[in-house]
Amino acid sequence: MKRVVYYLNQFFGQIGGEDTAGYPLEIRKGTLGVSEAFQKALAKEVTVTYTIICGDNYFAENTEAVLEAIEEFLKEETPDILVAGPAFNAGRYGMACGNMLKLAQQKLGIPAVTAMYQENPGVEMYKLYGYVIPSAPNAAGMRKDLKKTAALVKKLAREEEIGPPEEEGYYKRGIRKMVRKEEIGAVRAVNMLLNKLNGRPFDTELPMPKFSKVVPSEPIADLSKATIAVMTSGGIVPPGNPDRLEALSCTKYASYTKEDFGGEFRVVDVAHGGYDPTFAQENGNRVLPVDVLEELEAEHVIGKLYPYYYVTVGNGMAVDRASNFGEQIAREVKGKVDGILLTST
Amino acid sequence: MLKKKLILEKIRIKDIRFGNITNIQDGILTICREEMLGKLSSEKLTDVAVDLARPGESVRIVPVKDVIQPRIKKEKGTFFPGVLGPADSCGEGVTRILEGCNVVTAGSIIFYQEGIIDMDGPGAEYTIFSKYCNVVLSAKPAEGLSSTDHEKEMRLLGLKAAHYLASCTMEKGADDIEEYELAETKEKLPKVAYVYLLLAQGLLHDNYLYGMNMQKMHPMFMHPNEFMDGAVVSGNCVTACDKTTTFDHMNNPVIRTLYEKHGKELEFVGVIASPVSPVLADKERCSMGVKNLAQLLKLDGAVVSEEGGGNPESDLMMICEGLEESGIKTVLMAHENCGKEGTAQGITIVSEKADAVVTAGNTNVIITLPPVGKVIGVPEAIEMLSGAPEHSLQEDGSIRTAMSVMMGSINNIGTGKLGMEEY
Repeated sequence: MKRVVYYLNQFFGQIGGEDTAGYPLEIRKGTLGVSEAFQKALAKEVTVTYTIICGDNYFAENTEAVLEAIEEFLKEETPDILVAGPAFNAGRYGMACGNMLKLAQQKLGIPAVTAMYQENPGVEMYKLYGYVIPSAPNAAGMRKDLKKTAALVKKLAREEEIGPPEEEGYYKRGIRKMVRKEEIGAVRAVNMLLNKLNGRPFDTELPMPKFSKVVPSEPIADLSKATIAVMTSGGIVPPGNPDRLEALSCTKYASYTKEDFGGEFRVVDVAHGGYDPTFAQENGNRVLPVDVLEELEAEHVIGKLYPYYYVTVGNGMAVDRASNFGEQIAREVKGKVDGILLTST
Repeated sequence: MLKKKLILEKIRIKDIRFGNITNIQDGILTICREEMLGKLSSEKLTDVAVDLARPGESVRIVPVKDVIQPRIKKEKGTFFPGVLGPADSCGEGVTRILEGCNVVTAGSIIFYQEGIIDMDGPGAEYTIFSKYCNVVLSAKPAEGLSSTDHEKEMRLLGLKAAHYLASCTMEKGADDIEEYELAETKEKLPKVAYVYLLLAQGLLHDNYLYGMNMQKMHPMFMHPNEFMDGAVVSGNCVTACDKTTTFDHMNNPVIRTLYEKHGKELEFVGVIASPVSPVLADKERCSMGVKNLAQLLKLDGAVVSEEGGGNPESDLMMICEGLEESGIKTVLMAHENCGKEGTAQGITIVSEKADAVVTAGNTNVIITLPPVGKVIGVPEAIEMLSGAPEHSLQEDGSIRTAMSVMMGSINNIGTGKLGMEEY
């Protein structure tokens, strides 16, 4: 039988009301209150092995530490599914339940379910990470909301395919799923155009994605004292591509020194599959301009060229992975370089 | 004025085999291998081989470069104007087609490789080319041949083979006849053009119009029949899933659909073909050129299809903005890279004017292909395919790979039924 761990706040965990919102994290064996009702509803399907209880204020004030402790416990316990809430329209509780979804997906790789009222900010912030079921604004809807939660968990426990949001009754998560349509793309396009031309309603198949804006850093005050790193998404790798960077949808980045290229940076391989590689293969400086930067170093225009060149392949890379790489590389070089020159292809 | 009219005479092929003489009988194409190889001989290629792959066979073709449908002009016996034949007419007269049989070119050209066609199993579901009898050509470059010349020779090899096979249809009666003519529309209907973007970005990323590399071209207005008659040849061998093969150029489903609606729901005025350059100044110039032509043609609407992905998204969006700002209703055709779980943004260049987009699918979706009985081409290339994750070859011989390696699986020109839903 599939094992579930349940998350509740101090109120639904029967510790007390708002005056006990500072109640610290507690992990109890078995069920109580909401998790008990949930267990009864799915008695034949799952076992709720533990109930995690945490005061809403305690969670908000110690988020990182609480999440770490829960992660440690869950990695030990290895549940199949994580369930939290319903959080109704309670903001802090919604954040905690949402964080459980994120933890389940990102750290444990297991599905998670919660329920929230549409206006709870936790819906928008965390629906990408798991299933958030629309709930009533307050606990008056508990019975019904718990039933809906149980129905979805039952499907997950049986490893049945979870259908589209309209069918299964969860908020659209913003996940793009590939499906087979009735018509080929060309027919869909011409029909869409006819609808658009005739003022009839039509639905775009690709709503324009939104991106977060990056605020540029302050300019470097004195370039002649600065350590500058050079990095590229153009897939410039030592001959033979020793780290096997993939030509498209690359899953990694690597850092190389001049020695990795045999002491002279010129002859390279191009791991990138999205541009004509012949010019860069002849001379890697055309994509990763080490030669020019070394000249600038010799002329004291820049203080120092950072000896590690970071490389990945930008071809068809999903934006979330690229952001992830950016964050990791930033952590690795922070404090060691003053500026980075990024070249693309 | 005489309207341009193209008659397509199709000879249906249901099976292929080798024999002593190349001919067609009862829908079976027999190929004399020696004669065919003789016609294809080139000093620049060695080890030229012909293999056959039929639908339902446990066969995998890898790495595929191009797919070409055999076609030939009935009157002159030529095809591919400007490449194999003279560029003296195109898009009119009678063209004979081997329907159900294609030429596939395979082999490694440079570092990374691309393209799988599985003739059976789950992989066959992701490529339209599994439904055809395939005559597969592979070859190695002669010593010292540059990558650029190697690509050119492989491209010509496929075209010559297709022409050779089509030439044996001359005496046969046609199984189907289709006529393509942009007849005058009786009533006033919305004027629609197809904006056909063609990749022009360097080695393995180029298309050829009447034999000319499209890199330095400006958008041009063309008759849709020209594409059916081999005006454009693909030299684009990069990402298998989203490239337009020579077969696709001849059988473009957007052109077909606009023809079907012509005179009924819209007036199909023609095709604006434009190269997709990697250079921003060229992108700007070409977007302007598309808009200028669209205004001159007094268009009401346009369908714009991308080739490839990534930087061509900027062409798509700039063209969309130009057209929409001119009052021309626009639909875009693209595909997405939204991560294997579908959690990332599908495209990286966006415009609020792009409110009508058809998406062909997600390149990043991971698929598993079981082992097959026979691999035609270069089996080692499986680990080197553009878009394949590292260690795609599994211990049991199956391949865990990405949608991007399947030939034409999510082609932007809308050849397939795959699409995206938001969950």
